[in-house]
Amino acid sequence: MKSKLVALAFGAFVFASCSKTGCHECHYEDAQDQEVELGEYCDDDLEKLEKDGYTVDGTTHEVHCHGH
Amino acid sequence: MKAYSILLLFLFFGGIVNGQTIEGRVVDAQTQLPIAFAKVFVLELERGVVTDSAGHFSFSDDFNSTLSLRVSALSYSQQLVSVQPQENKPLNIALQPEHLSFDEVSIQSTLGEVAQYNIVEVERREIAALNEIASTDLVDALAKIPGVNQSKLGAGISKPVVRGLMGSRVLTYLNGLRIENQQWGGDHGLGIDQLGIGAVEVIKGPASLLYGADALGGVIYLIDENYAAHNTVEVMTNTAFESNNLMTKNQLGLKYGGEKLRFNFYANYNNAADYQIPGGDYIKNSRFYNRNIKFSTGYNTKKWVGNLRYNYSNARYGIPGHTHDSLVTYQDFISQETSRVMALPAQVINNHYLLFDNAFYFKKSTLKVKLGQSLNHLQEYEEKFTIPALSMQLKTSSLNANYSFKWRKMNWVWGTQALYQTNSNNPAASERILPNATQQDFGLFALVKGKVKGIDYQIGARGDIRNLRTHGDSSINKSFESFNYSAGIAKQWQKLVLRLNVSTGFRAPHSSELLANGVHHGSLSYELGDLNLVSEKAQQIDASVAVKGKHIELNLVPFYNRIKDFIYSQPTGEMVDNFPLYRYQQAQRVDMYGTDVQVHFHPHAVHDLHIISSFSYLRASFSNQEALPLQPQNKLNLMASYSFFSKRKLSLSKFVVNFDQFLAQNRPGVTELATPAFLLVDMALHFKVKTKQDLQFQCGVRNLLNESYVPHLSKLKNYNIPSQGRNVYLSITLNLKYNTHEK
Repeated sequence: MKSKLVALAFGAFVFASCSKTGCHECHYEDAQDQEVELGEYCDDDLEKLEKDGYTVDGTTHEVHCHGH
Repeated sequence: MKAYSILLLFLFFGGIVNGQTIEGRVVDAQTQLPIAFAKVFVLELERGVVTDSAGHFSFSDDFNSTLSLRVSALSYSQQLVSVQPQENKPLNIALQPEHLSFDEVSIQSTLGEVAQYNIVEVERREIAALNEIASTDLVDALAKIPGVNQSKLGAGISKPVVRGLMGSRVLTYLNGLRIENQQWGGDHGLGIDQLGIGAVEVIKGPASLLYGADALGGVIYLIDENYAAHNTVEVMTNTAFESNNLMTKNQLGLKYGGEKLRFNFYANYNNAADYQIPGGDYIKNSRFYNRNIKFSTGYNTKKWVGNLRYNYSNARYGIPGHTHDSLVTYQDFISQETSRVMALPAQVINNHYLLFDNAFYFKKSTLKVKLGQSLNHLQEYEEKFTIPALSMQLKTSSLNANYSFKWRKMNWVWGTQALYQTNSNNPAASERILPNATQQDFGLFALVKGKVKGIDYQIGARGDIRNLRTHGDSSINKSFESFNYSAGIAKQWQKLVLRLNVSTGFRAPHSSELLANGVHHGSLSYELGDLNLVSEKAQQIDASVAVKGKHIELNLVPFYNRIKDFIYSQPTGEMVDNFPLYRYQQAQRVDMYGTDVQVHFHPHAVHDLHIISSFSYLRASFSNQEALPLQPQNKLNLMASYSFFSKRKLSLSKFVVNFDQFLAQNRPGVTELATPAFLLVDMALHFKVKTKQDLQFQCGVRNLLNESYVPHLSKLKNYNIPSQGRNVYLSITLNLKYNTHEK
């Protein structure tokens, strides 16, 4: 019985850690090459923002959600 | 279809009746006293039993062909015993007292998966023995074998280097399944975890006779842990922590051994933050995690043994040492704090490995058939977290079959290997370094082994063809043929074994070398291939001298490997897309020579002390005597261990200390810098807790002196980014064992 509990607890631990991409601070660069912060985006919202970009006054900017 | 179903039913149920019982006694050959806890392992069934206090063992099985029992015990030399079916008399197995244990001192002593087909020196190591001081990962463990090194990118990504060759020049097999996971990339790790691996066998040098294309630099053959004994259930849990990168490792294993059916199941999860260097800083984005699941099941009838094995791994590795800044400083790569939060750039890797392994035992012959299927999905995230810059799927189907029989007092093996592989790019990825491609391999080989006037010999030949087709704009259709051979002799005296072997190998150019044309972020370069490259051809001559004394054992393995048409990439000095341009080219000839020396000192007066030392020397040059790039530093190793025996509830069972003196690499390639010498000292203490169950602790420290060092093969050497500083670890293991027939 103890073994089963250990196995169950371990399985739960391994698979509970299976998170998605998490949350990240995002920004884009405007026409003056200035970084404009967009705040934190998570999971599906993050995916959509990275895929579609951020549109301001009809102009779509590529978004970056990391710094390096 | 009906015929197949009937055949399958026959295989599963054909041998339920007429089983055989094997029983016997294991004794000391000198005193005839029984040996308790001796291991009697059945090679064909991958399971065994342990003798009781009177040295007795017994097991029943339906398997009704000749059995090979490997009998071993602490301080005794292991012995191979052949048991004929229906041989009903009890066995009496006498083991010779033995204090030294280099496998090389007996031609047949390793009895391994690879060794049984080779007269050449095959280095076999138990994974547990390589972890007397716990390794960070499988490659770190393999790098403890003389002549094997590792090329690392940070703390998580590493690949083995065998006698100075790596990547697509070194083949990795997992229980007979060829591992295909984009090994051509300098930043692509081995992709296999230590989870559930029991032993490794390493061939250093070309071995195309048995393994075909690409076995030019060596073969690493990984073997799963054994199944549990008959009517036994084993549960193993392990948790470990490493201080340097706050790494946690958690592992669970379950083994079931029934009368006929047996299975092993394992799962683990490893997670590391950025690692710390001497001085206290951390290397940015060296964080990683990986998780693995492994399952294998075996079944046998009277004449058939089958194993189905599956491995899954999922990993995300941060790529340290990365910047887009035009002015790069060391400070760009370090941080004052560590983190586990996933950052960019990163590799995300998923691997599925499936193997159906069959052995059919006939009256005077054996047929082995291994069918494999693997899927490697490699994604590299550069600028975005959710959209990969590079995304490739590599699917591989393989067949590996051999038929062995005796004819005119000679052992013959005929074999074939076939492989069908496709590489496809995800259209959503912004970059494409390799084209969509299809590769087909086919090879046929024959080898014969025998003995004449006390001299063992082996000779074999093989023909191969590889076809590579790419699809899309840059489509090509190329074929590469090759003929290879191997011939060797060995002579064993009581205290001396001599071997001499000549072998060849070939490697067709990889599609990356032919067609690469793009930025490879993992290696921080723009790579450009060349369609006119031809196959590399290697020819190696190697010898070994193993001498065994009463207190000391010595093994000397000199070798010379000549590779024609050696393919390598060289920076041109130009920049493309802000990355240095590396172009693939071919050298007329490369000469590699060196030696591995091992000494095992085990004085009888201090029975529990073992001192093992090795020295690996390698020199590799182009034909103009210029040094070959990416060559490991020569290494002097010394490991001492002392075992303790105590009846206390908590007792120290072993103390291990290890010294690795990496000599300076003063022969760098033309585009490399020299690497200074450094010394690494590691130590470990093993504790046992006396309870009903087997509870063990191991604590230790790697890089005890907190040495700041950058190995010559580190992918971070260009930026002089050091490897991990002092790393204290603690590991706790609990093993539970039940007999399913005991009430």
